Amino acid sequence: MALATSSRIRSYFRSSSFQMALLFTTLLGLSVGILGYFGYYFAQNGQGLPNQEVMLWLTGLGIVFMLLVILTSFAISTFVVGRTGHIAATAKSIMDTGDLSQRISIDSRWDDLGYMAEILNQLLARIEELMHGVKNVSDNIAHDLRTPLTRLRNNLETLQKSAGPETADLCENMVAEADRLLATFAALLRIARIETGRQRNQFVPLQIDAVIRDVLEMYEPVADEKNIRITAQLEPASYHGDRDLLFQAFVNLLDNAIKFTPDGGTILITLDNKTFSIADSGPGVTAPDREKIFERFYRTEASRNTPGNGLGLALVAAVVKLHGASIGLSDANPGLRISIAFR
Amino acid sequence: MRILIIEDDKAVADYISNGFKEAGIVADAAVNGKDGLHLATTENYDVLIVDRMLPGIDGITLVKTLRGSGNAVPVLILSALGEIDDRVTGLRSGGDDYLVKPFAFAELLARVEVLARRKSNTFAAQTILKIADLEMDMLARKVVRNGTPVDLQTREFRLLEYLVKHKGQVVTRTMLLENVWDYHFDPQTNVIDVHISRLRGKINAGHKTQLIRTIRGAGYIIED
Ligand SMILES: Nc1ncnc2c1ncn2[C@@H]1O[C@H](COP(=O)(O)OP(=O)(O)OP(=O)(O)O)[C@@H](O)[C@H]1O
Ligand SMILES: [Mg+2]
Repeated sequence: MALATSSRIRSYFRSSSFQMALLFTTLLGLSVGILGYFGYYFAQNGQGLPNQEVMLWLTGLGIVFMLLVILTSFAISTFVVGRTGHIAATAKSIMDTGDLSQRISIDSRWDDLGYMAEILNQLLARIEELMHGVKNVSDNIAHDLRTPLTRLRNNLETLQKSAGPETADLCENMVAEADRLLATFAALLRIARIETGRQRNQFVPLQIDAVIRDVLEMYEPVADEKNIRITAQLEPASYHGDRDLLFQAFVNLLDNAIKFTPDGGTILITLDNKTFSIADSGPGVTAPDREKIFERFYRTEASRNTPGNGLGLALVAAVVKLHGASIGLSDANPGLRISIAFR
Repeated sequence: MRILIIEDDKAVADYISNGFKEAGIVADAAVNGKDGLHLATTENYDVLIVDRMLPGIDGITLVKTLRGSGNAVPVLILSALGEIDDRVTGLRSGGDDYLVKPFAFAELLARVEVLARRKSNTFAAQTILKIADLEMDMLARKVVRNGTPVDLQTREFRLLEYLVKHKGQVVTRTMLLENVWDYHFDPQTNVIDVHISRLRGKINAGHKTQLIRTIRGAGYIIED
Protein backbone atom coordinates (compact mmCIF):
# COMPACT_ATOMS: atom_id res chain seq x y z
CA MET A 1 0.00 0.00 0.00
CA ALA A 2 2.67 2.44 1.11
CA LEU A 3 4.79 1.25 -1.76
CA ALA A 4 2.00 1.83 -4.22
CA THR A 5 1.42 5.32 -2.88
CA SER A 6 5.10 6.22 -2.96
CA SER A 7 5.47 4.89 -6.48
CA ARG A 8 2.39 6.83 -7.46
CA ILE A 9 3.95 9.97 -6.05
CA ARG A 10 7.20 9.23 -7.76
CA SER A 11 5.51 8.64 -11.08
CA TYR A 12 3.62 11.92 -10.65
CA PHE A 13 6.89 13.80 -10.40
CA ARG A 14 7.96 12.17 -13.64
CA SER A 15 4.73 12.88 -15.47
CA SER A 16 4.41 15.50 -18.17
CA SER A 17 1.38 17.01 -16.39
CA PHE A 18 3.60 17.60 -13.40
CA GLN A 19 6.24 19.14 -15.58
CA MET A 20 3.68 21.34 -17.27
CA ALA A 21 2.31 22.46 -13.91
CA LEU A 22 5.87 23.16 -12.78
CA LEU A 23 6.51 25.29 -15.83
CA PHE A 24 3.30 27.28 -15.47
CA THR A 25 3.93 27.92 -11.82
CA THR A 26 7.49 29.04 -12.55
CA LEU A 27 6.36 31.44 -15.26
CA LEU A 28 3.49 32.72 -13.14
CA GLY A 29 5.77 33.16 -10.15
CA LEU A 30 8.29 34.94 -12.33
CA SER A 31 5.72 37.40 -13.71
CA VAL A 32 4.22 38.09 -10.29
CA GLY A 33 7.71 38.56 -8.90
CA ILE A 34 8.71 41.03 -11.61
CA LEU A 35 5.46 42.98 -11.30
CA GLY A 36 5.87 43.02 -7.51
CA TYR A 37 9.43 44.27 -7.86
CA PHE A 38 8.33 47.15 -10.09
CA GLY A 39 5.52 48.04 -7.66
CA TYR A 40 8.01 47.98 -4.76
CA TYR A 41 10.49 50.10 -6.76
CA PHE A 42 7.95 52.82 -7.51
CA ALA A 43 6.60 52.83 -3.99
CA GLN A 44 10.17 53.24 -2.67
CA ASN A 45 10.78 56.27 -4.84
CA GLY A 46 7.62 57.79 -3.40
CA GLN A 47 6.13 58.40 -6.75
CA GLY A 48 2.86 56.65 -5.90
CA LEU A 49 1.40 55.21 -9.03
CA PRO A 50 3.84 54.76 -11.90
CA ASN A 51 3.55 57.05 -14.86
CA GLN A 52 2.11 56.14 -18.26
CA GLU A 53 5.43 55.06 -19.79
CA VAL A 54 6.15 52.58 -17.07
CA MET A 55 2.54 51.30 -17.24
CA LEU A 56 3.06 50.66 -20.94
CA TRP A 57 6.25 48.79 -20.18
CA LEU A 58 4.50 46.67 -17.61
CA THR A 59 1.63 45.86 -19.97
CA GLY A 60 4.08 44.93 -22.71
CA LEU A 61 6.00 42.73 -20.32
CA GLY A 62 2.75 41.07 -19.20
CA ILE A 63 1.80 40.35 -22.80
CA VAL A 64 5.23 38.92 -23.55
CA PHE A 65 4.99 36.60 -20.55
CA MET A 66 1.51 35.52 -21.56
CA LEU A 67 2.71 34.75 -25.07
CA LEU A 68 5.64 32.87 -23.60
CA VAL A 69 3.25 30.78 -21.47
CA ILE A 70 1.01 30.08 -24.47
CA LEU A 71 3.94 29.13 -26.66
CA THR A 72 5.47 26.82 -24.09
CA SER A 73 2.20 25.07 -23.34
CA PHE A 74 1.63 24.71 -27.06
CA ALA A 75 5.09 23.25 -27.50
CA ILE A 76 4.55 20.85 -24.64
CA SER A 77 1.17 19.73 -25.91
CA THR A 78 2.45 19.13 -29.46
CA PHE A 79 5.34 17.22 -27.97
CA VAL A 80 2.99 15.09 -25.86
CA VAL A 81 0.37 14.62 -28.59
CA GLY A 82 3.07 13.82 -31.13
CA ARG A 83 4.37 11.09 -28.93
CA THR A 84 1.03 9.59 -27.97
CA GLY A 85 0.26 9.75 -31.69
CA HIS A 86 3.43 7.83 -32.38
CA ILE A 87 2.45 5.18 -29.82
CA ALA A 88 -1.03 4.89 -31.38
CA ALA A 89 0.43 4.67 -34.89
CA THR A 90 2.76 1.86 -33.86
CA ALA A 91 -0.09 -0.03 -32.19
CA LYS A 92 -2.26 0.36 -35.28
CA SER A 93 0.51 -0.78 -37.58
CA ILE A 94 1.00 -3.86 -35.41
CA MET A 95 -2.71 -4.65 -35.64
CA ASP A 96 -2.82 -4.08 -39.39
CA THR A 97 0.26 -6.07 -40.33
CA GLY A 98 0.19 -8.54 -37.47
CA ASP A 99 3.91 -7.97 -37.17
CA LEU A 100 4.56 -8.23 -33.47
CA SER A 101 8.26 -7.55 -33.83
CA GLN A 102 7.64 -3.79 -34.10
CA ARG A 103 8.47 -1.57 -31.12
CA ILE A 104 7.70 1.99 -30.09
CA SER A 105 10.86 4.05 -30.43
CA ILE A 106 11.79 5.57 -27.08
CA ASP A 107 13.44 9.00 -27.22
CA SER A 108 13.62 9.63 -23.49
CA ARG A 109 13.47 7.61 -20.34
CA TRP A 110 12.89 10.27 -17.72
CA ASP A 111 9.25 11.28 -18.38
CA ASP A 112 5.98 9.39 -18.13
CA LEU A 113 5.52 8.85 -21.88
CA GLY A 114 8.97 7.37 -22.28
CA TYR A 115 8.22 5.22 -19.27
CA MET A 116 4.88 4.12 -20.76
CA ALA A 117 6.54 3.34 -24.11
CA GLU A 118 9.08 1.22 -22.32
CA ILE A 119 6.38 -0.74 -20.47
CA LEU A 120 4.37 -1.16 -23.70
CA ASN A 121 7.46 -2.48 -25.45
CA GLN A 122 7.97 -5.00 -22.69
CA LEU A 123 4.32 -6.01 -23.09
CA LEU A 124 4.78 -6.41 -26.84
CA ALA A 125 7.87 -8.52 -26.32
CA ARG A 126 5.91 -10.76 -23.96
CA ILE A 127 3.00 -11.11 -26.39
CA GLU A 128 5.39 -11.89 -29.21
CA GLU A 129 7.04 -14.55 -27.11
CA LEU A 130 3.69 -16.15 -26.27
CA MET A 131 2.40 -15.99 -29.84
CA HIS A 132 5.61 -17.47 -31.06
CA GLY A 133 5.22 -20.28 -28.55
CA VAL A 134 1.67 -21.03 -29.70
CA LYS A 135 2.65 -20.95 -33.38
CA ASN A 136 5.64 -23.16 -32.74
CA VAL A 137 3.59 -25.66 -30.79
CA SER A 138 0.92 -26.03 -33.48
CA ASP A 139 3.57 -26.05 -36.19
CA ASN A 140 5.49 -28.72 -34.37
CA ILE A 141 2.40 -30.82 -33.76
CA ALA A 142 1.61 -30.83 -37.44
CA HIS A 143 5.25 -31.43 -38.27
CA ASP A 144 5.91 -34.14 -35.71
CA LEU A 145 2.71 -36.04 -36.37
CA ARG A 146 3.59 -36.25 -40.02
CA THR A 147 6.53 -38.56 -39.47
CA PRO A 148 4.71 -41.38 -37.59
CA LEU A 149 1.70 -40.97 -39.83
CA THR A 150 3.90 -41.38 -42.89
CA ARG A 151 5.43 -44.51 -41.41
CA LEU A 152 1.95 -45.89 -40.74
CA ARG A 153 0.88 -45.07 -44.26
CA ASN A 154 3.96 -46.69 -45.79
CA ASN A 155 3.56 -49.84 -43.70
CA LEU A 156 -0.05 -50.10 -44.79
CA GLU A 157 1.08 -49.82 -48.38
CA THR A 158 3.56 -52.65 -47.85
CA LEU A 159 0.87 -54.74 -46.18
CA GLN A 160 -1.46 -54.11 -49.09
CA LYS A 161 0.95 -55.78 -51.51
CA SER A 162 1.08 -59.06 -49.60
CA ALA A 163 -2.58 -59.14 -48.54
CA GLY A 164 -5.52 -60.99 -50.08
CA PRO A 165 -7.92 -58.98 -52.26
CA GLU A 166 -10.33 -58.11 -49.44
CA THR A 167 -7.66 -56.90 -47.01
CA ALA A 168 -5.89 -55.15 -49.86
CA ASP A 169 -9.00 -53.08 -50.55
CA LEU A 170 -9.23 -52.20 -46.89
CA CYS A 171 -5.56 -51.23 -46.86
CA GLU A 172 -6.07 -49.03 -49.88
CA ASN A 173 -8.87 -47.19 -48.13
CA MET A 174 -6.71 -46.70 -45.07
CA VAL A 175 -3.82 -45.44 -47.16
CA ALA A 176 -6.17 -42.96 -48.81
CA GLU A 177 -7.42 -41.86 -45.38
CA ALA A 178 -3.84 -41.38 -44.15
CA ASP A 179 -3.08 -39.38 -47.29
CA ARG A 180 -6.00 -37.09 -46.54
CA LEU A 181 -4.73 -36.54 -42.99
CA LEU A 182 -1.24 -35.83 -44.30
CA ALA A 183 -2.69 -33.38 -46.80
CA THR A 184 -4.52 -31.60 -43.96
CA PHE A 185 -1.31 -31.30 -41.96
CA ALA A 186 0.49 -30.06 -45.04
CA ALA A 187 -2.20 -27.43 -45.59
CA LEU A 188 -1.97 -26.30 -41.95
CA LEU A 189 1.80 -26.00 -42.15
CA ARG A 190 1.52 -24.14 -45.39
CA ILE A 191 -0.84 -21.58 -43.88
CA ALA A 192 1.47 -21.20 -40.87
CA ARG A 193 4.44 -20.55 -43.16
CA ILE A 194 2.59 -17.99 -45.22
CA GLU A 195 1.47 -16.24 -42.03
CA THR A 196 5.01 -15.85 -40.77
CA GLY A 197 5.58 -13.84 -43.95
CA ARG A 198 8.72 -15.70 -44.83
CA GLN A 199 7.52 -16.35 -48.35
CA ARG A 200 7.68 -12.78 -49.52
CA ASN A 201 11.00 -13.47 -51.24
CA GLN A 202 9.06 -15.27 -53.97
CA PHE A 203 7.43 -12.04 -55.14
CA VAL A 204 7.80 -11.31 -58.85
CA PRO A 205 6.18 -8.88 -61.27
CA LEU A 206 3.10 -10.57 -62.76
CA GLN A 207 -0.27 -9.98 -64.40
CA ILE A 208 -3.14 -10.86 -62.07
CA ASP A 209 -5.46 -11.27 -65.04
CA ALA A 210 -3.10 -13.83 -66.59
CA VAL A 211 -3.00 -15.88 -63.40
CA ILE A 212 -6.80 -15.83 -63.20
CA ARG A 213 -7.03 -16.86 -66.84
CA ASP A 214 -4.81 -19.85 -66.12
CA VAL A 215 -7.03 -20.82 -63.19
CA LEU A 216 -10.10 -20.55 -65.39
CA GLU A 217 -8.56 -22.60 -68.15
CA MET A 218 -7.75 -25.28 -65.64
CA TYR A 219 -11.09 -25.39 -63.82
CA GLU A 220 -13.57 -24.71 -66.60
CA PRO A 221 -13.80 -28.46 -67.42
CA VAL A 222 -14.64 -29.11 -63.75
CA ALA A 223 -17.42 -26.52 -63.90
CA ASP A 224 -18.60 -28.02 -67.20
CA GLU A 225 -19.20 -31.32 -65.48
CA LYS A 226 -21.78 -29.58 -63.28
CA ASN A 227 -23.12 -27.49 -66.15
CA ILE A 228 -22.01 -24.36 -64.37
CA ARG A 229 -21.36 -21.41 -66.65
CA ILE A 230 -18.44 -19.16 -65.77
CA THR A 231 -18.36 -15.60 -67.06
CA ALA A 232 -15.16 -13.62 -66.69
CA GLN A 233 -14.51 -9.92 -67.22
CA LEU A 234 -10.84 -9.30 -66.62
CA GLU A 235 -9.03 -6.02 -67.00
CA PRO A 236 -5.23 -6.17 -67.20
CA ALA A 237 -3.60 -5.58 -63.83
CA SER A 238 0.14 -5.53 -63.21
CA TYR A 239 1.18 -6.58 -59.75
CA HIS A 240 4.05 -7.69 -57.59
CA GLY A 241 3.27 -10.97 -55.87
CA ASP A 242 3.75 -14.69 -55.43
CA ARG A 243 2.51 -16.41 -58.57
CA ASP A 244 1.95 -19.86 -57.08
CA LEU A 245 0.22 -18.55 -53.96
CA LEU A 246 -2.08 -16.23 -55.92
CA PHE A 247 -2.92 -19.11 -58.23
CA GLN A 248 -3.67 -21.27 -55.18
CA ALA A 249 -5.89 -18.58 -53.63
CA PHE A 250 -7.93 -18.16 -56.83
CA VAL A 251 -8.17 -21.94 -57.16
CA ASN A 252 -9.52 -22.24 -53.61
CA LEU A 253 -12.14 -19.56 -54.27
CA LEU A 254 -13.22 -21.03 -57.60
CA ASP A 255 -13.23 -24.53 -56.12
CA ASN A 256 -15.64 -23.34 -53.42
CA ALA A 257 -17.85 -21.57 -55.94
CA ILE A 258 -18.08 -24.70 -58.12
CA LYS A 259 -18.53 -26.98 -55.12
CA PHE A 260 -21.33 -25.02 -53.43
CA THR A 261 -23.21 -23.92 -56.56
CA PRO A 262 -25.86 -26.41 -57.65
CA ASP A 263 -25.91 -27.92 -61.16
CA GLY A 264 -26.71 -25.44 -63.90
CA GLY A 265 -25.65 -22.41 -61.83
CA THR A 266 -23.52 -19.44 -62.83
CA ILE A 267 -20.28 -17.91 -61.60
CA LEU A 268 -19.20 -14.36 -62.39
CA ILE A 269 -15.55 -13.38 -62.05
CA THR A 270 -14.35 -9.82 -62.51
CA LEU A 271 -11.07 -7.99 -62.21
CA ASP A 272 -11.57 -4.29 -62.30
CA ASN A 273 -9.15 -1.62 -61.10
CA LYS A 274 -7.06 -4.28 -59.29
CA THR A 275 -10.15 -5.52 -57.47
CA PHE A 276 -10.96 -9.18 -57.95
CA SER A 277 -14.44 -10.46 -57.30
CA ILE A 278 -16.10 -13.85 -57.60
CA ALA A 279 -19.86 -14.28 -57.25
CA ASP A 280 -21.78 -17.54 -57.47
CA SER A 281 -25.43 -18.51 -57.60
CA GLY A 282 -25.18 -20.98 -54.73
CA PRO A 283 -26.80 -20.83 -51.28
CA GLY A 284 -24.47 -18.08 -49.99
CA VAL A 285 -23.36 -17.64 -46.42
CA THR A 286 -25.53 -16.13 -43.68
CA ALA A 287 -24.31 -12.90 -42.10
CA PRO A 288 -23.32 -14.44 -38.73
CA ASP A 289 -21.26 -17.10 -40.50
CA ARG A 290 -19.47 -14.64 -42.72
CA GLU A 291 -16.83 -13.60 -40.23
CA LYS A 292 -16.13 -17.19 -39.27
CA ILE A 293 -15.56 -18.89 -42.60
CA PHE A 294 -11.98 -17.63 -42.82
CA GLU A 295 -11.12 -19.47 -39.62
CA ARG A 296 -9.24 -22.73 -39.83
CA PHE A 297 -11.54 -25.77 -39.98
CA TYR A 298 -14.74 -23.72 -39.90
CA ARG A 299 -17.47 -25.06 -42.16
CA THR A 300 -21.09 -23.93 -42.07
CA GLU A 301 -23.81 -26.31 -40.95
CA ALA A 302 -25.19 -26.40 -44.50
CA SER A 303 -21.96 -27.68 -46.02
CA ARG A 304 -21.30 -30.64 -43.73
CA ASN A 305 -22.04 -33.12 -46.50
CA THR A 306 -19.73 -31.59 -49.11
CA PRO A 307 -16.10 -32.74 -49.19
CA GLY A 308 -13.41 -30.52 -47.65
CA ASN A 309 -12.02 -29.68 -44.25
CA GLY A 310 -12.38 -25.93 -43.97
CA LEU A 311 -8.83 -24.84 -44.69
CA GLY A 312 -9.32 -23.39 -48.18
CA LEU A 313 -10.42 -19.93 -47.12
CA ALA A 314 -7.94 -19.77 -44.23
CA LEU A 315 -5.22 -20.11 -46.83
CA VAL A 316 -6.86 -17.47 -49.03
CA ALA A 317 -6.91 -15.09 -46.05
CA ALA A 318 -3.23 -15.75 -45.36
CA VAL A 319 -2.26 -15.15 -48.99
CA VAL A 320 -4.31 -11.94 -49.11
CA LYS A 321 -2.63 -10.68 -45.94
CA LEU A 322 0.82 -11.59 -47.21
CA HIS A 323 0.15 -9.39 -50.23
CA GLY A 324 -1.15 -6.52 -48.12
CA ALA A 325 -4.50 -6.81 -49.91
CA SER A 326 -7.94 -6.81 -48.29
CA ILE A 327 -10.81 -9.25 -48.62
CA GLY A 328 -14.54 -8.73 -48.23
CA LEU A 329 -17.72 -10.81 -48.34
CA SER A 330 -21.09 -9.70 -49.57
CA ASP A 331 -24.41 -11.02 -50.75
CA ALA A 332 -24.61 -11.87 -54.46
CA ASN A 333 -28.40 -12.44 -54.29
CA PRO A 334 -28.44 -15.37 -54.17
CA GLY A 335 -25.02 -16.76 -53.50
CA LEU A 336 -21.79 -15.43 -52.13
CA ARG A 337 -19.54 -12.71 -53.46
CA ILE A 338 -15.93 -12.53 -52.34
CA SER A 339 -13.86 -9.50 -53.32
CA ILE A 340 -10.15 -8.93 -52.96
CA ALA A 341 -8.73 -5.44 -53.35
CA PHE A 342 -5.08 -5.58 -54.42
CA ARG A 343 -3.17 -2.35 -54.07
CA MET B 1 19.28 -49.02 -63.58
CA ARG B 2 21.53 -48.23 -60.60
CA ILE B 3 20.45 -45.87 -57.89
CA LEU B 4 22.14 -44.29 -54.89
CA ILE B 5 20.07 -43.21 -51.91
CA ILE B 6 21.71 -40.68 -49.59
CA GLU B 7 19.38 -40.40 -46.61
CA ASP B 8 20.08 -40.40 -42.87
CA ASP B 9 16.53 -41.23 -41.76
CA LYS B 10 16.59 -45.01 -41.65
CA ALA B 11 12.81 -45.44 -41.94
CA VAL B 12 12.70 -43.39 -45.12
CA ALA B 13 15.81 -45.07 -46.57
CA ASP B 14 14.38 -48.54 -45.91
CA TYR B 15 11.04 -47.61 -47.39
CA ILE B 16 12.73 -46.44 -50.58
CA SER B 17 15.16 -49.40 -50.77
CA ASN B 18 12.38 -51.93 -50.32
CA GLY B 19 10.29 -50.23 -52.94
CA PHE B 20 13.12 -50.39 -55.46
CA LYS B 21 13.87 -54.00 -54.57
CA GLU B 22 10.27 -54.93 -55.34
CA ALA B 23 10.47 -53.05 -58.61
CA GLY B 24 13.63 -55.05 -59.45
CA ILE B 25 15.96 -52.08 -59.23
CA VAL B 26 19.35 -52.12 -57.49
CA ALA B 27 19.81 -49.35 -54.96
CA ASP B 28 22.84 -48.52 -52.82
CA ALA B 29 22.49 -46.46 -49.68
CA ALA B 30 24.61 -43.96 -47.78
CA VAL B 31 23.65 -42.49 -44.41
CA ASN B 32 25.64 -39.27 -44.51
CA GLY B 33 26.83 -36.67 -46.99
CA LYS B 34 30.49 -37.65 -46.90
CA ASP B 35 29.93 -41.34 -47.72
CA GLY B 36 27.30 -40.35 -50.26
CA LEU B 37 29.63 -37.97 -52.06
CA HIS B 38 32.38 -40.59 -52.08
CA LEU B 39 30.09 -43.24 -53.61
CA ALA B 40 28.63 -40.79 -56.10
CA THR B 41 32.06 -39.80 -57.41
CA THR B 42 33.58 -43.28 -57.53
CA GLU B 43 30.65 -45.36 -58.81
CA ASN B 44 28.42 -45.01 -61.81
CA TYR B 45 24.79 -44.31 -60.98
CA ASP B 46 21.80 -43.49 -63.15
CA VAL B 47 20.04 -41.42 -60.52
CA LEU B 48 20.89 -40.06 -57.06
CA ILE B 49 18.23 -39.56 -54.42
CA VAL B 50 19.56 -37.02 -51.95
CA ASP B 51 18.00 -35.87 -48.70
CA ARG B 52 18.29 -32.13 -48.22
CA MET B 53 19.25 -32.31 -44.56
CA LEU B 54 22.16 -34.64 -43.93
CA PRO B 55 24.73 -34.90 -41.18
CA GLY B 56 28.15 -33.66 -42.30
CA ILE B 57 27.70 -32.36 -45.82
CA ASP B 58 24.09 -31.33 -46.47
CA GLY B 59 22.25 -32.28 -49.63
CA ILE B 60 22.50 -28.90 -51.35
CA THR B 61 26.27 -28.66 -50.82
CA LEU B 62 26.66 -32.23 -52.00
CA VAL B 63 24.86 -31.52 -55.27
CA LYS B 64 26.82 -28.29 -55.77
CA THR B 65 30.09 -30.14 -55.21
CA LEU B 66 29.12 -32.83 -57.71
CA ARG B 67 28.14 -30.29 -60.32
CA GLY B 68 31.28 -28.28 -59.65
CA SER B 69 33.37 -31.31 -60.50
CA GLY B 70 31.50 -31.80 -63.78
CA ASN B 71 29.36 -34.72 -62.67
CA ALA B 72 25.99 -34.48 -64.41
CA VAL B 73 24.23 -37.49 -62.90
CA PRO B 74 20.47 -36.75 -62.49
CA VAL B 75 19.65 -35.84 -58.87
CA LEU B 76 16.32 -35.94 -57.11
CA ILE B 77 16.29 -33.95 -53.88
CA LEU B 78 14.10 -35.01 -50.97
CA SER B 79 12.97 -32.47 -48.41
CA ALA B 80 10.92 -32.62 -45.25
CA LEU B 81 10.09 -28.95 -45.26
CA GLY B 82 8.15 -28.42 -48.41
CA GLU B 83 8.48 -24.71 -48.59
CA ILE B 84 8.39 -23.28 -52.06
CA ASP B 85 11.68 -21.45 -51.69
CA ASP B 86 13.24 -24.76 -50.67
CA ARG B 87 12.30 -26.08 -54.05
CA VAL B 88 13.89 -23.10 -55.70
CA THR B 89 17.21 -23.43 -53.83
CA GLY B 90 17.13 -27.18 -54.42
CA LEU B 91 16.76 -26.82 -58.15
CA ARG B 92 19.16 -23.90 -58.38
CA SER B 93 21.91 -25.87 -56.69
CA GLY B 94 21.81 -28.32 -59.58
CA GLY B 95 19.06 -30.73 -58.51
CA ASP B 96 16.92 -32.02 -61.38
CA ASP B 97 13.76 -32.76 -59.47
CA TYR B 98 12.39 -32.14 -56.03
CA LEU B 99 10.07 -34.19 -53.89
CA VAL B 100 8.60 -33.28 -50.52
CA LYS B 101 8.40 -35.82 -47.73
CA PRO B 102 6.13 -37.61 -47.06
CA PHE B 103 5.60 -39.03 -50.52
CA ALA B 104 4.11 -42.18 -51.97
CA PHE B 105 6.68 -44.57 -53.39
CA ALA B 106 4.82 -44.60 -56.70
CA GLU B 107 5.48 -40.87 -57.02
CA LEU B 108 9.20 -41.32 -56.36
CA LEU B 109 9.50 -44.28 -58.71
CA ALA B 110 7.79 -42.44 -61.56
CA ARG B 111 10.10 -39.46 -61.15
CA VAL B 112 13.24 -41.58 -60.88
CA GLU B 113 12.36 -43.45 -64.07
CA VAL B 114 11.82 -40.22 -65.93
CA LEU B 115 15.17 -38.88 -64.69
CA ALA B 116 17.03 -42.10 -65.54
CA ARG B 117 15.73 -42.12 -69.09
CA ARG B 118 16.25 -38.47 -69.74
CA LYS B 119 19.75 -39.06 -71.03
CA SER B 120 18.50 -41.37 -73.74
CA ASN B 121 15.48 -39.22 -74.53
CA THR B 122 15.86 -38.01 -78.09
CA PHE B 123 12.51 -36.31 -78.45
CA ALA B 124 13.84 -32.81 -78.13
CA ALA B 125 14.92 -32.59 -81.75
CA GLN B 126 12.01 -34.48 -83.27
CA THR B 127 9.30 -32.64 -85.11
CA ILE B 128 6.98 -35.62 -85.38
CA LEU B 129 6.13 -37.66 -82.28
CA LYS B 130 4.55 -41.07 -82.77
CA ILE B 131 2.68 -43.36 -80.44
CA ALA B 132 0.75 -46.39 -81.72
CA ASP B 133 -1.32 -45.04 -84.64
CA LEU B 134 -1.19 -41.46 -83.39
CA GLU B 135 1.07 -38.75 -84.75
CA MET B 136 1.86 -35.35 -83.31
CA ASP B 137 3.25 -32.70 -85.62
CA MET B 138 5.20 -30.43 -83.27
CA LEU B 139 5.69 -27.65 -85.81
CA ALA B 140 2.19 -27.40 -87.19
CA ARG B 141 0.75 -28.30 -83.75
CA LYS B 142 -1.53 -30.89 -85.36
CA VAL B 143 -2.54 -34.34 -84.19
CA VAL B 144 -3.62 -37.15 -86.50
CA ARG B 145 -4.81 -40.54 -85.40
CA ASN B 146 -5.02 -43.30 -87.97
CA GLY B 147 -5.42 -40.70 -90.71
CA THR B 148 -8.14 -38.73 -88.91
CA PRO B 149 -7.25 -35.26 -87.59
CA VAL B 150 -7.86 -34.68 -83.87
CA ASP B 151 -8.70 -31.17 -82.82
CA LEU B 152 -6.94 -30.32 -79.54
CA GLN B 153 -6.73 -27.11 -77.54
CA THR B 154 -3.31 -25.74 -76.57
CA ARG B 155 -3.26 -27.25 -73.10
CA GLU B 156 -4.60 -30.59 -74.32
CA PHE B 157 -1.84 -30.63 -76.88
CA ARG B 158 0.80 -30.01 -74.21
CA LEU B 159 -0.72 -32.68 -71.99
CA LEU B 160 -0.58 -35.22 -74.80
CA GLU B 161 2.93 -34.09 -75.71
CA TYR B 162 4.16 -34.69 -72.16
CA LEU B 163 2.58 -38.14 -72.07
CA VAL B 164 3.98 -39.11 -75.46
CA LYS B 165 7.46 -37.82 -74.64
CA HIS B 166 7.38 -40.13 -71.63
CA LYS B 167 5.74 -43.03 -73.38
CA GLY B 168 6.02 -46.32 -71.54
CA GLN B 169 6.57 -44.43 -68.27
CA VAL B 170 4.08 -43.69 -65.54
CA VAL B 171 3.50 -39.97 -65.10
CA THR B 172 1.86 -38.85 -61.88
CA ARG B 173 -0.75 -36.14 -61.45
CA THR B 174 1.74 -33.88 -59.67
CA MET B 175 4.23 -34.29 -62.50
CA LEU B 176 1.55 -33.19 -64.94
CA LEU B 177 0.62 -30.20 -62.77
CA GLU B 178 4.22 -29.08 -62.51
CA ASN B 179 5.20 -29.67 -66.10
CA VAL B 180 2.10 -29.03 -68.16
CA TRP B 181 0.61 -26.22 -66.08
CA ASP B 182 3.75 -24.84 -64.50
CA TYR B 183 2.19 -23.96 -61.16
CA HIS B 184 3.08 -25.46 -57.80
CA PHE B 185 -0.12 -25.79 -55.89
CA ASP B 186 -2.63 -28.15 -54.35
CA PRO B 187 -5.47 -28.65 -56.82
CA GLN B 188 -8.24 -29.37 -54.23
CA THR B 189 -10.11 -31.59 -56.69
CA ASN B 190 -9.38 -34.25 -59.29
CA VAL B 191 -8.88 -31.56 -61.88
CA ILE B 192 -6.16 -33.52 -63.72
CA ASP B 193 -8.47 -36.51 -64.09
CA VAL B 194 -11.04 -34.26 -65.70
CA HIS B 195 -8.51 -32.97 -68.23
CA ILE B 196 -7.27 -36.49 -68.98
CA SER B 197 -10.77 -37.77 -69.55
CA ARG B 198 -11.40 -34.89 -71.97
CA LEU B 199 -8.22 -35.68 -73.82
CA ARG B 200 -9.10 -39.35 -73.92
CA GLY B 201 -12.51 -38.53 -75.30
CA LYS B 202 -10.93 -36.60 -78.15
CA ILE B 203 -8.14 -38.97 -79.14
CA ASN B 204 -10.04 -42.20 -78.62
CA ALA B 205 -13.33 -41.24 -80.28
CA GLY B 206 -14.04 -43.70 -83.13
CA HIS B 207 -10.96 -45.84 -82.45
CA LYS B 208 -10.78 -49.39 -81.21
CA THR B 209 -7.68 -49.21 -79.04
CA GLN B 210 -7.84 -46.84 -76.11
CA LEU B 211 -4.75 -44.71 -75.57
CA ILE B 212 -3.76 -43.40 -72.08
CA ARG B 213 -4.20 -45.97 -69.35
CA THR B 214 -4.82 -45.15 -65.69
CA ILE B 215 -2.39 -46.78 -63.27
CA ARG B 216 -4.17 -47.18 -59.97
CA GLY B 217 -2.58 -45.28 -57.11
CA ALA B 218 0.07 -43.77 -59.37
CA GLY B 219 -0.99 -41.87 -62.47
CA TYR B 220 -1.22 -42.33 -66.22
CA ILE B 221 0.72 -44.05 -68.96
CA ILE B 222 0.65 -43.99 -72.73
CA GLU B 223 2.08 -47.00 -74.58
CA ASP B 224 2.64 -48.27 -78.08
N1 LIG C 1 -19.04 -19.99 -52.46
C1 LIG C 1 -19.55 -20.41 -51.30
N2 LIG C 1 -20.88 -20.58 -51.14
C2 LIG C 1 -21.39 -20.99 -49.95
N3 LIG C 1 -20.64 -21.29 -48.87
C3 LIG C 1 -19.32 -21.14 -48.97
C4 LIG C 1 -18.69 -20.71 -50.18
N4 LIG C 1 -17.37 -20.65 -49.97
C5 LIG C 1 -17.17 -21.05 -48.71
N5 LIG C 1 -18.32 -21.35 -48.10
C6 LIG C 1 -18.47 -21.79 -46.70
O1 LIG C 1 -17.26 -21.55 -46.01
C7 LIG C 1 -16.73 -22.75 -45.47
C8 LIG C 1 -15.23 -22.70 -45.46
O2 LIG C 1 -14.72 -22.72 -46.80
P1 LIG C 1 -13.29 -23.34 -47.05
O3 LIG C 1 -12.96 -23.20 -48.48
O4 LIG C 1 -12.36 -22.76 -46.04
O5 LIG C 1 -13.49 -24.87 -46.66
P2 LIG C 1 -14.11 -26.06 -47.51
O6 LIG C 1 -14.32 -25.66 -48.92
O7 LIG C 1 -15.28 -26.55 -46.75
O8 LIG C 1 -12.94 -27.13 -47.43
P3 LIG C 1 -11.56 -27.11 -48.23
O9 LIG C 1 -11.45 -25.78 -48.90
O10 LIG C 1 -10.53 -27.30 -47.17
O11 LIG C 1 -11.66 -28.22 -49.19
C9 LIG C 1 -17.30 -23.83 -46.35
O12 LIG C 1 -17.34 -25.07 -45.71
C10 LIG C 1 -18.70 -23.29 -46.62
O13 LIG C 1 -19.54 -23.56 -45.52
MG1 LIG D 1 -12.75 -24.72 -50.04
